Amino acid sequence: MPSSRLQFDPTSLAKYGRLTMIARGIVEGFLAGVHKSPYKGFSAEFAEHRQYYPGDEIRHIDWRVWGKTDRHYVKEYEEETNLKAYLLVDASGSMAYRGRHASKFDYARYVAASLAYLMLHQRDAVGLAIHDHRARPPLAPRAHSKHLLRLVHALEQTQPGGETSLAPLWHQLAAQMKQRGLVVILSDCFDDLPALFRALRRLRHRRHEVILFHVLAPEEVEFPFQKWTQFRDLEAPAQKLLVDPLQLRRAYLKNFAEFQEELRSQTGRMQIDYHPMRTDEPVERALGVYLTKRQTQR
Amino acid sequence: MPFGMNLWMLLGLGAVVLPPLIHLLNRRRYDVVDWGAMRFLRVGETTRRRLQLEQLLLMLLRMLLIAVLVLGLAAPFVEGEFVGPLAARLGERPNRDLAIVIDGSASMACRQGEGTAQQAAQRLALALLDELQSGDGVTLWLARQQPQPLLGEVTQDVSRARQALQHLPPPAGTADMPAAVQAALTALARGQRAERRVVILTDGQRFGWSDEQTLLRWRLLAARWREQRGQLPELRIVNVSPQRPEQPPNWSVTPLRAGRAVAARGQSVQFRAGLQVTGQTEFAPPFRLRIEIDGQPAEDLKLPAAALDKDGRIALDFRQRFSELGSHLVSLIVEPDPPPEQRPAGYVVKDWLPADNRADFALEVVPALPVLLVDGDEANPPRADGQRGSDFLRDALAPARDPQPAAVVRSVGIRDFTPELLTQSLSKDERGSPRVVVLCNVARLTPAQQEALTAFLARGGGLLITLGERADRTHYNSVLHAGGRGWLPATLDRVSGAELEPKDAVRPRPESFFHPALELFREGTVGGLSEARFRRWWKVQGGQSAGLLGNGDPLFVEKPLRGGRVLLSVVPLDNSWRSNLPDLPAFAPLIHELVYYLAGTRAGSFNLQPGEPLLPPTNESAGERVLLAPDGSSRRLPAGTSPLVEAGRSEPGVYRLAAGGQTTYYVVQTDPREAVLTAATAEDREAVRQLLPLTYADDPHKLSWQDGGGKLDLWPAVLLGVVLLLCAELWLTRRIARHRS
Repeated sequence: MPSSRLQFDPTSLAKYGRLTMIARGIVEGFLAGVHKSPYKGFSAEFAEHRQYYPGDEIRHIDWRVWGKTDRHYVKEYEEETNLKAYLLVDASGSMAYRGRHASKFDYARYVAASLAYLMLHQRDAVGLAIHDHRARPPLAPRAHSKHLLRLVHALEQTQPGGETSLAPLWHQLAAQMKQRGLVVILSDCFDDLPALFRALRRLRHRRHEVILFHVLAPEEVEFPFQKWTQFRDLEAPAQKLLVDPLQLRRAYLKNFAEFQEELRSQTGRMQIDYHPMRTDEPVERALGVYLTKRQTQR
Repeated sequence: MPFGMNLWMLLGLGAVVLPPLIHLLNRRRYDVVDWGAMRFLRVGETTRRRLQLEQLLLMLLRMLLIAVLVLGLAAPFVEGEFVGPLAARLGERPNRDLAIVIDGSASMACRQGEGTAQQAAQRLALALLDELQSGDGVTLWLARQQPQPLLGEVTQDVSRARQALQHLPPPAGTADMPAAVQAALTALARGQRAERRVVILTDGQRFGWSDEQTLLRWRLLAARWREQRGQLPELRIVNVSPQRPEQPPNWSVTPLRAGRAVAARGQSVQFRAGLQVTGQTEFAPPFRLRIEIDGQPAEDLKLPAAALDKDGRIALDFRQRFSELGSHLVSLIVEPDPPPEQRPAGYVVKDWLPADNRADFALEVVPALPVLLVDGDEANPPRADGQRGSDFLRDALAPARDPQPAAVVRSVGIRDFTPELLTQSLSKDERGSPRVVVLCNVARLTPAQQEALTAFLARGGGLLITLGERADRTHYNSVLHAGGRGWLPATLDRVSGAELEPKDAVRPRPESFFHPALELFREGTVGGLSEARFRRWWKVQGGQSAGLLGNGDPLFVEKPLRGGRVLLSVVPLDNSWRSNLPDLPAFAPLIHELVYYLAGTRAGSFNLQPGEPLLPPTNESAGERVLLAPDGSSRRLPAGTSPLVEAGRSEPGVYRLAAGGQTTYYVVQTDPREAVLTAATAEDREAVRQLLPLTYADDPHKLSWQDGGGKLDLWPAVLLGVVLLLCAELWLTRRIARHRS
């Protein structure tokens, strides 16, 4: 059953100008795109001329140059390759938290859909892996425009819940991704941090560029509760905790700050782009600001 | 350790359950949140224990705070013999308020040993002031007929209290002790101190402490205090004359009375009084018994030789004539003991209380009394014999041949009786408006006449009504009596007797003549009133009978009004109904007595009871007046001041009003019971103690605050505890809040 209709409006990003999702590193590919490729060959974009050697295809000989110089040169083209991007969306139970704003999962899939749209628009291949308590096969990267519908459909069909361990899934995905690419993770990272770091390290080891969007609800950041509250674990509903939030606030904020700092510092060391997102911030604004900043840092 | 407190307030200890109750209620009313970041809520065990400990500590602090607060409100104290000295030694005695009530009655002038009871009270009060420390409050009251505030409000200025005690007014009159105690309690109730005490310094006299009237007042005071205040301060009664015998020897003069308060010049006025002797087994005549007129010695009375009656009294009477017009003061003074220099060795003093050895009376002497006779005869010209009923009265009051009649009389018919006659002078020589009006056998009055007479009575006038053939019963009953609202003393029933039956005629009953106007005729003499025969008379109902007929019917009925007096005669004071009254020699004196008695209504304002206001005389002269009070103090009063002394302020004794070279005397009478120095018995004292929780401290030396009744309030310590707990609660709350932020 679909959890809810994804209210995805690609045009809402338009107000932030012509955005592109550009990989910082060099990505491998042969399709035309905006990313630089290490391979030079014959493609639509001219690069340089070189002398003809036997064995070269005759069709690549520039006859205009031969007419002017009476020498045989062949045209070489700089090949534009597409980006293979993987969107990893966390659908664990904790992502279902909904404060006064949209749930973290809703927020994450909105971001994921927006990124998919942008990247498909620039002819990059986009794949999707949603992590929930069920093991489900990821959608392989495709650059076809109709692929967006499949991605959106998959996001719509997913219901967050259950206790999910992210690290094994990321390890598994790292093994499956043969080609270097861009890995965009959308998660609250409420998991065993050392295991998460190991998985991230493996992704980086395989030369993937990793972006971690840390999706958080404002209540999780500020802990504004005043009255006595019973907190029920979204991943294990049987676990309940009745506390006076005013008593616990200081300890909670301390724990949370330590957690976030650990995440920030470790991802920094691994040259992973860490970007926290709050669900009370409009998606298009958060994404727009991020992408603009990323473009300027290129 | 003898602790005490208001146990009812301890019910408030139930409030200590409020903090845990609020905690539990908060726990029951919680929000439910589905939460993802559970891992951050799981704090360490140490932190959890610390938080729990803080919360537990805070709750305990709050419970303790409530408990201590309730304890403080219960006014805890500790008492015992050790408390007073302990507090004094520690120098931590809590401040207290003290009310001293001093008996100011005449009996406090009783001499014993070296001084009077009042001087002993003065010394004790000063000793009490010496015990006060800085911050203590004191209020001083003098118990008189009306409580007198020497220091009406609780003050910490002890020097003012000392000054007030040094200038105590001399004892006089009676003392309303319950009223004085009530005043002191009210003053103390306005103070702030928890420890309050009322010390009553009195001479142990039964009258004024435990007589029936005073017991009733104590009962009222106790009931009122129970209703209004709840807890009484400590009440201590100190007998300043503990050595006084139960029945001390005393001579006193009972109040002086006269047949009339107004007399004509040269007229003989009879005065009556009595000697009251108590505490003496054998009667020995007094050293001297003398009369003073206007403060000047007049004559000595013959010393009574008769034995005392069963009440210890000897009756005295004397007559006096006054040749000068105006106000006069008649004083009767007894000197039971010779002057000290004339006393032989070993002389035993017969009189311990000299203050009650005189009695005074203020008398007004007028040239001639203005009297208006209103005759009910409407016949014009008068009857064939040329005489009207009122003519008999006129002839009795102002005989035609008398060059100096006792009254100025004007006689008018009922038709000519206009309201103006009551305010205008009766004759050309300006002898004043009528002081007495006689309605002689009047049938009825017009509304204007009735209204004018009502106003006349309100001004203090006297009205004599003689009934006869013409009296309209219906008019008298419905209009003039009006169910008691009018000024007619009684309702008219019917005319009794038969004019033609001389054997059925009734005679007055002289033995019933106790009324001041008829006293002269009580003894039957030849030609006296007892020989009068009335063939017909009106039977009347109600009113105060002022003399009876032989058959028991009233002869005269009186109604005292707020201003004047009304006397109703059931027979016409003339020769109608074939009465022989005008033929008797007693007729003229009777009319004189009646008229002068009624005229004395206004003069009655010169002989007053304690507390009654002093009103200026009606014929006062313009200009400034000086009023000399019994205690010797004088006050200048501007013209027009009225009253001269307000109600509740007049003290027993003689007031002298000097104006325009003339002196007007006012006598405020003393209650003769004050002269009875009988001490209150143990039963009497117990009767008062059962009404109020008071303590009799007969030994003045045990009056100290540090004696066995010492009591130390613990509320300051409790208050300190509350403050400390509040500080601790604040500190802990802020610490927790700091952690939360």
